[in-house]
Amino acid sequence: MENEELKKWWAEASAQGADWSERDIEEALRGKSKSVIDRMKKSLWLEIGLVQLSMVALAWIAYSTDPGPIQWLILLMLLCYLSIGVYFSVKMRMLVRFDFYRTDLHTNLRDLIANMEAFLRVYRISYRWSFGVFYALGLFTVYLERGSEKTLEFISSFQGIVFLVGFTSAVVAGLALERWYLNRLYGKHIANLRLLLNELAFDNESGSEPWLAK
Amino acid sequence: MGAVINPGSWRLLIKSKRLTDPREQTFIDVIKSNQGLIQKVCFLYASDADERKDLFQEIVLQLWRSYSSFRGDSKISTWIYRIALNVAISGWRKRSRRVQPEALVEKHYNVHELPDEKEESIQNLYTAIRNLSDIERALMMLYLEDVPYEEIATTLGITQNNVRVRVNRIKEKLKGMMRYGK
Repeated sequence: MENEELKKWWAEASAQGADWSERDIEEALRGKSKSVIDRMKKSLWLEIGLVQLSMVALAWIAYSTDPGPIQWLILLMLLCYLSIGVYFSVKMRMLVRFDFYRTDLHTNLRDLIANMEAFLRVYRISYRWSFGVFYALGLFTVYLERGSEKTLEFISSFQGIVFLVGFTSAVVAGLALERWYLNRLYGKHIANLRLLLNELAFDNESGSEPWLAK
Repeated sequence: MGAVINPGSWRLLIKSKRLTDPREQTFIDVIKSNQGLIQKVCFLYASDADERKDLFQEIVLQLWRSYSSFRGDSKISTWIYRIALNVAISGWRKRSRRVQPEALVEKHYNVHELPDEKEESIQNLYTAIRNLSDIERALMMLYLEDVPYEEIATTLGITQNNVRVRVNRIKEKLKGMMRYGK
């Protein structure tokens, strides 16, 4: 099989393809993007929406609860939520500034991996912090409800131990679930991208010599 | 009393305004005259009609997003290949990973209208190319499209020497696959 023959077959096969009409192209232009970055943007908007909903719910609970420690605690949580705005803006900036596709494949893969990893780092750090704060606030509520003496009494009782173990397990399970979810969403995709980058950047037959243009 | 415009009329008005946008019309003309390139990428990287439609849409959208920054420094085909391959390989998640190459060729290329011998050769070629890795597929497609090594190197971000060596290896691999019908 000669090269020219190969190219001829390719040209003949390609010439048989069905055409896309102008209407198809217009429809494609009106469609929604399903790119990785666009999906990340969508999930970020969903996250913002959920946080806003929970803020409204918390504000409503604070409003309808009698003045006391629980109300103060909810107000404290709402204040914590306000700081989440910073986290959202960091994430949004990371996604918006990433102008991919316009570079060559190698640069695109490298930047996509770096950006997705940085994004995931922000995600993980923020979730760990929020779980930590949630845990501390949970324990603080117990203290506020009972006072120092009764809290010590409660913690040393069977009920208190069950509560502590259950609450700690819930927080640890939440962290594990978050890790699994993020890995399912982006982890495998990043791993695939890394494989592609390795295949592109290294010559498999002559060892690990990089063969990049830059 | 002013005329009442219902929501349906507004939509039509917006749509007609969009369609008469000269920049968009130029873009559609560019896509139409180069759609063969996008088609080939879609056929090589998508597994069925739905996936192909999704990939086509994604490529057209990304081309449109970067159309304003296209200064004509490179050939329009190079620009299209670059974005289409970036989308197909790295920026888009497939619904399923594996494809049945034979079904793909039969369904989307009218190979049955060709003489038997040619039909078999084309079937074999597509089957073999579909069995290559994503990167090898891109290299082979650009090579078969007669894109110069320099442009292939620019599109993929590797050296020309690397392109040359890899293309030779992939050709040998393809020949082997076609010979044994793998």
